[in-house]
Amino acid sequence: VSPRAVAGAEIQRILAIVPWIVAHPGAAKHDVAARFGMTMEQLDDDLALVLMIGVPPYSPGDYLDVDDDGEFVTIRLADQFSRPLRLTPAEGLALLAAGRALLAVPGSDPEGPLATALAKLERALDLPEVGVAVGEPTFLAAVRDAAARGERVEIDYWSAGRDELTTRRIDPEVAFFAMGEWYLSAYCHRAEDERMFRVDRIRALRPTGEHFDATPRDEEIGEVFSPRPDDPRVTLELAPAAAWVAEAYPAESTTTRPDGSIQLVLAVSEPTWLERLLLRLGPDARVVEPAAARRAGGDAARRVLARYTGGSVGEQSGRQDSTAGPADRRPDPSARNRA
Amino acid sequence: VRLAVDPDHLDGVLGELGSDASVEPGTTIIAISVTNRAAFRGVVLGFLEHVEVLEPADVRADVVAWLEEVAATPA
Repeated sequence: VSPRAVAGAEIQRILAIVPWIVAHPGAAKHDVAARFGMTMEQLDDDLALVLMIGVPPYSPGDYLDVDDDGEFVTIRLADQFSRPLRLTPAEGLALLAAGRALLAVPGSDPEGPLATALAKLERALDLPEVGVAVGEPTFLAAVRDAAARGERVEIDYWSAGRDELTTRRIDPEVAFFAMGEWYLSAYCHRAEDERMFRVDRIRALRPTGEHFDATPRDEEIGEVFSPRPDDPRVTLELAPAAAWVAEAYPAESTTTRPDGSIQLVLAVSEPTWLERLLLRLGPDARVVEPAAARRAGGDAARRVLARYTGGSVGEQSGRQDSTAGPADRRPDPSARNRA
Repeated sequence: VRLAVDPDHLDGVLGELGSDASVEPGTTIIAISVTNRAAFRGVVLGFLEHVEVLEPADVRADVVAWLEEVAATPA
């Protein structure tokens, strides 16, 4: 059994930071940290990781070179990175899609070297019928604007994890792109705590006319999902076809068997999240424990079937209360309180 | 494929399906072309009982058969 980490916001951020610093040699580290919404400590950690980036055979000249005097930083690319790439169309398209996602990372320069390179790549691919763009949810511009102006807003928000629509007043802080979705970090007056919202799940947004202190924080954006210690842990048995779950979600432990099947443990904060996952996986997944969660998939399936058949869901329609899920991402429980 | 969507979830389903999806005027019925049935089924089931595949019949039957298999899985 081994812990399994999911490369998420950190890797995205590093991939966005590197081309920016390369294009701005001698950049002030405080400026870099401010631009990408990170702490100085976090920037130092990222730069330490950048020092490890290289290409085979990993001789000294094959790594990125980071010149960091504590106040200013320069990154030089290894010669290998200067050589022209020969990409297949499929590789080019994948690179284009990944690059576009990186441009959505806060702080990336929409007209910088990454954007320029992607424009060249798009022309080289010569795919006039194919557009690659990172979709922007309806209220992304509105929450960004509210965050910049320090305007408290009222939102109608659909919580996928609990499958409920709520109305709440929030102080938007920062919107960011991670794991393929746009998220908003905000102070929620309903929860009286920091919360992470998926922007595409905001159903309506209304100004309140109230304002809050929008001074940029010298704090790290919380993880998109940080399980709480008391979140139920669910052990799943997955067929090889469902192995993607171990990569897509932050499993606390993963065991891969010789036949390719996987057993993993997930922190599940909301019961409906588990239902949705089990319906999606169908026969490729089985709940091992806790026993109370073993009926979650079947009960959800019967409930959905009732819509198709017009029949009664039956006495097994009750949802499990002891399970929950990472889909509705919560901020780190240690996040500050401002109530 | 035509989908019946609960009004509260219309925006969310449209967001998941992307710009190719269209809403039939005056209704909460969505029409969209589907090329990958498995991926489509995953999106639809992600909205639980709030979305129903109306037609074509074979796509609807595919979803129903999938649900029946999950429902029949021993706890």
